[in-house]
Amino acid sequence: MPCIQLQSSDGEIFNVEFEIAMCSFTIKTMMVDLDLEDNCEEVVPLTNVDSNILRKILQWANYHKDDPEANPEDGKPVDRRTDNICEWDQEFMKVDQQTLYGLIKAANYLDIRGLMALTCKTVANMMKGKTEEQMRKMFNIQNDLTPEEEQQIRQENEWCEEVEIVAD
Amino acid sequence: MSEFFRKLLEKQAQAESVHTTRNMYEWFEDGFIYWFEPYFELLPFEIMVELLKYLNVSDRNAMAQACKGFYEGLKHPYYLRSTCLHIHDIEFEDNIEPVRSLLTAFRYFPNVKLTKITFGNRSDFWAEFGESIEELTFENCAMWKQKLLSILRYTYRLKSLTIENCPDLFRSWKLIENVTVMLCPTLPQLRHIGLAGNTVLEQHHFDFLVGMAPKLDSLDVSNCFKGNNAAHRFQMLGHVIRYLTDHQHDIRHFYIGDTPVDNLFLRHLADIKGLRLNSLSLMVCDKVPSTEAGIIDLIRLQTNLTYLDLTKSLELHDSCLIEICKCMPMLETLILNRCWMITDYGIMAIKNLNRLKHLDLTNCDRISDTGIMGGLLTHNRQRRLRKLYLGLLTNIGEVVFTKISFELNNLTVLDLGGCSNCINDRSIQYIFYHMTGLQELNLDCCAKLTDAGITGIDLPECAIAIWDLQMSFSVADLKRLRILNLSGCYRVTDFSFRMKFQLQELRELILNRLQISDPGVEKLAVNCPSLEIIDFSECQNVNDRCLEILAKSCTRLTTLRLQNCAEITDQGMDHLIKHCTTLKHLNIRGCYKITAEAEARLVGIRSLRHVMANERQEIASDGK
Repeated sequence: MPCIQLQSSDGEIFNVEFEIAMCSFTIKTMMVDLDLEDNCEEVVPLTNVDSNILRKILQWANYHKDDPEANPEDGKPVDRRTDNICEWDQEFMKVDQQTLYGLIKAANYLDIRGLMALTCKTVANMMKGKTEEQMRKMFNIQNDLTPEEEQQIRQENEWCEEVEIVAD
Repeated sequence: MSEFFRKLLEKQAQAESVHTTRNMYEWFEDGFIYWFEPYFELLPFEIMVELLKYLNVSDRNAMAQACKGFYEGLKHPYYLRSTCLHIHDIEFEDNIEPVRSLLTAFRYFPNVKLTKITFGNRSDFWAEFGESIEELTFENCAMWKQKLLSILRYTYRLKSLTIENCPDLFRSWKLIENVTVMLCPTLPQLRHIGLAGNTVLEQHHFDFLVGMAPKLDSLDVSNCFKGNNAAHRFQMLGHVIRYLTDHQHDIRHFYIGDTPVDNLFLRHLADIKGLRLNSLSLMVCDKVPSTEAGIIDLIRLQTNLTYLDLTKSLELHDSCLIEICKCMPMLETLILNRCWMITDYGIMAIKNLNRLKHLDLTNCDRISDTGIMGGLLTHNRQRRLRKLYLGLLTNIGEVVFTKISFELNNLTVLDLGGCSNCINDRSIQYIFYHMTGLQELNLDCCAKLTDAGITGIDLPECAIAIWDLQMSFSVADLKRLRILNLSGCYRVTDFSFRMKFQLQELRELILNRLQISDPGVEKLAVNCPSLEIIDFSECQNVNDRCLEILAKSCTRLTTLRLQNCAEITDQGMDHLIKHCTTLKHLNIRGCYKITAEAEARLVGIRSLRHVMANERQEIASDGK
């Protein structure tokens, strides 16, 4: 099995099976563009991902390597469900906020769509039904709004309603 | 670790500390360790947008209030379009709230709806935001022609204009005006005009409005020509037919529901050969003649229909329905609400409509098990079906219903209001098991339901029992549920609310005539944090303590209906006044322990717009 070497931001090098690394569209595009598909010598530096996060991601990618590839352009309705997370993923996502944050950013940077959806769904599930104050506390969000801005947004929100429940 | 790398990291750390001081690199044993706190407010814009996709409007709004980044995400056009600025029960005046604060809004509003508004002087709102408005709805507004035109002058990107139930507008709108110059704006992108419920609509009103829209393809005149005298109705219907004939190649959607039309009208409609509709609503209440039946010809012509609404068509027979199913294979929405003549024989034909997404059979009470089995549950069953309304179908039995829950498990909306025969503790368990995608569930008056069915606890026999495997289910399995109606299920008690109401997304809960009291409400308020609309009408045990809990825990509550809750006193009102910041509608009619003074104090709730209170004057005059 051909391997590729990925280097995390803190310098750790991971030997990753080709097939697993390919779940990241960023890496895939790079490999195809640079025509590196046979060359395993090169170390790919991932400066935005530290070793803890990368280890987690590889663990996830390894479990999901056999999943059917989701194609976003096949005209399927947008999946807005957040309750369809499989058990393994639920267990996988039981992490602290810091790791969760790292995973979201890394999934976005590496363009791993499945993981992106999973992390966003997890965060969305945590946010549902919370007040803004609870959200700030839960995710350690610093309130960068001035009181006037906050008041303004509250006023706007008071009159903004849902159009209709969309069946999906 | 190389010196170079260390320097590089230090450099990076410096660069990042400009943005936030919560990140740092620290030297620990033999290397740098990267310490940071998660700072979600600085997530990249595209992640914010992605994250918001999974949330409902109320959650999105709350998130936008948490920090700037999330608010920026909310301003993505996709989210702006999926919300509606709904202003109601106020005077539209620039220096009065809420228009005053809306004028300085950071976002724009593609979808605006005004309900029960009185207009004041000229408002800058339209000059400011008119350009971005794509859909505009006036509902029960006191307005006049000049006002409407002065608004429409700014909304030149309007795609849809709806004027519902605004009798004042048309009453004051005369054919011959005193004003000599009257500019008629042209709205080049306007495609839909809705005039539903305007019973005083005249020909010149109609001509003026459709004249503004050169590209019109959708026209709604439902419920317009109902109360008028027959001559006027005849005249208006003829006028509409003439318009349709002239624009037969443009019009794609035509709605004239809730209007008694005769066979002649249907014949005329069927004679417009160029008319190829995608949507149609109609009420067939004239006896269908055996020869030259307009409705049959119309059905045969309109083969492209995807939406067909035949609500209250009391004379719609099985033969018509069979013809519909034969001629309209594209049909996605079929509404047969209160079509009493439809029987099992006719409804079996819908098995041919395999694109059906929305089916409404409410009150077609001749339909029984055979029809449902044949129409919905045959070999090519309705896999695409998402919304199913079976209200008041008392002839459906438990067995067929169990089959529905098993076969049509992709439903998002299920209405079983008044189906007291098919819903009992056993069949509800199968809903909880199979239909986990449900967002809206109506179980109005399903009086056989008890706590055991709702919670799955202490059932006489479990829903699934194979060998030693026993499983039972509860309402908490419907994780996506947003609207639940349990009115009149009087055997559902606090036990259910205490044990199993853990519904994170539940927004609307209707519990008329239930035995709920404070232990139930307490758990409910904590476990269903998204509740916005609660209806406790005629719940005898709801007391001041319940209101206190609701006011403190339900931070999003906008509507509270407490009609005929005799236990509630002034103290309950004071809890609301003290803790509620979002309440808009309150119904306390028939709560006779509430004094007039307490009612007067309710103005202390800043957001409150609409109170249905006791009619004091009447009581006083009766007393005298």
